[in-house]
Amino acid sequence: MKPLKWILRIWIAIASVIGFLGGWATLAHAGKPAPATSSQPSINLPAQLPTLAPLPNFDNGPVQLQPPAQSQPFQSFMPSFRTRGS
Amino acid sequence: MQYYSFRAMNTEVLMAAEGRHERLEVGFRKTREFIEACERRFTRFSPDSELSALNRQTGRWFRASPDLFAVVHLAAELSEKTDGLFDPSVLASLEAVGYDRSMDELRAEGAAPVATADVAVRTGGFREVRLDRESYSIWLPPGARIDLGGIAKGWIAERAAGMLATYAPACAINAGGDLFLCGLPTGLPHWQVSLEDPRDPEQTLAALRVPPGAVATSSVTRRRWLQGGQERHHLIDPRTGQPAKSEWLSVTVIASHAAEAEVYAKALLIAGPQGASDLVGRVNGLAYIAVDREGRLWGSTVSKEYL
Repeated sequence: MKPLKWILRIWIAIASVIGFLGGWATLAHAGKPAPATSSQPSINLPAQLPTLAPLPNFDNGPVQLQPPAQSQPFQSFMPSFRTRGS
Repeated sequence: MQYYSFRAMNTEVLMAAEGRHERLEVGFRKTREFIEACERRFTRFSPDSELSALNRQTGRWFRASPDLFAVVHLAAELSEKTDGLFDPSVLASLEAVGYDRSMDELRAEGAAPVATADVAVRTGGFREVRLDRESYSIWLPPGARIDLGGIAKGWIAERAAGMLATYAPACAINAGGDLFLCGLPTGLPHWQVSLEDPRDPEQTLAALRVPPGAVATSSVTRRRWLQGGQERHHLIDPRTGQPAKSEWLSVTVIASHAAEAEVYAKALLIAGPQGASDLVGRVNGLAYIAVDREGRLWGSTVSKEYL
């Protein structure tokens, strides 16, 4: 039994050394990682971050309103529908 | 869209509706009859109106019609919600500053001069009003005569639009700038309502995109007159009994109900920019557009969606 045990130990040791050296050689010949300035979209993470909706205005104070520029004339189907002081 | 206009409630009333001509003719006629009947009931300028009868009986219980009871009940609720900024019991103050007859007569004849010191100030009277739902009875505190002008106009416009809507899928009532809109005009996602510039009635400041519901505007530039050389207007601040001094010239409110829109427009105009945040904080999602002396527009954050 003893010689078998020794053969097994030597075989495991040799296999470990060969595995380690093989892995080292593989990594040494692998392609280098892209530089940080790469324009590849896959690493442009900030643009993909979700944005939060603006928080509601809790002070309820009046805000200035900007009516859109009147690029289109008012529709004429109800010209008399105006709201004004009573 | 077909139109029908006539004069009532001291203003121009315009009805617009879509539908078959013969059917709309009947609808316009019946709606006009309803508005005129309501005017006879709610006017303070006729001694024969039910409102005048109520005002003669302050300090005593008055058995009212369901319609008058409904409007006074609504007024009491909204007076509480606006923390008294809306108070129909300012009639004595209104008369003291000269608004003791219809605006047409006032403009033609001018107001009787009254010294400022003589102006009767009776504030907070409406808080003491008592209502009995079972018998439609109203008790006004002694001397607290009421004016239901604006709130009644809104209530009438909404009821009238509801009546006209039984004849037309899309219709609108415009009672002197207070509108109630039912349904939507064919092919349109909203009604379009022009916002008048209170500094120049010929000009329009914005085109509002409004869903079915109510739009009401209060302004200090339209109903104005001179009393003893002093310029007066019809919006009385219940806290002082005097015409309100506001930084805003007009306030437009967009709401589900016309009486509510009318009351909040008035209360916001009296409150001004400083008091508006309190009022808006109490009413979730209140949409209003105020116009200042430079013609700039102000409002709540939800108001933007109507511009």
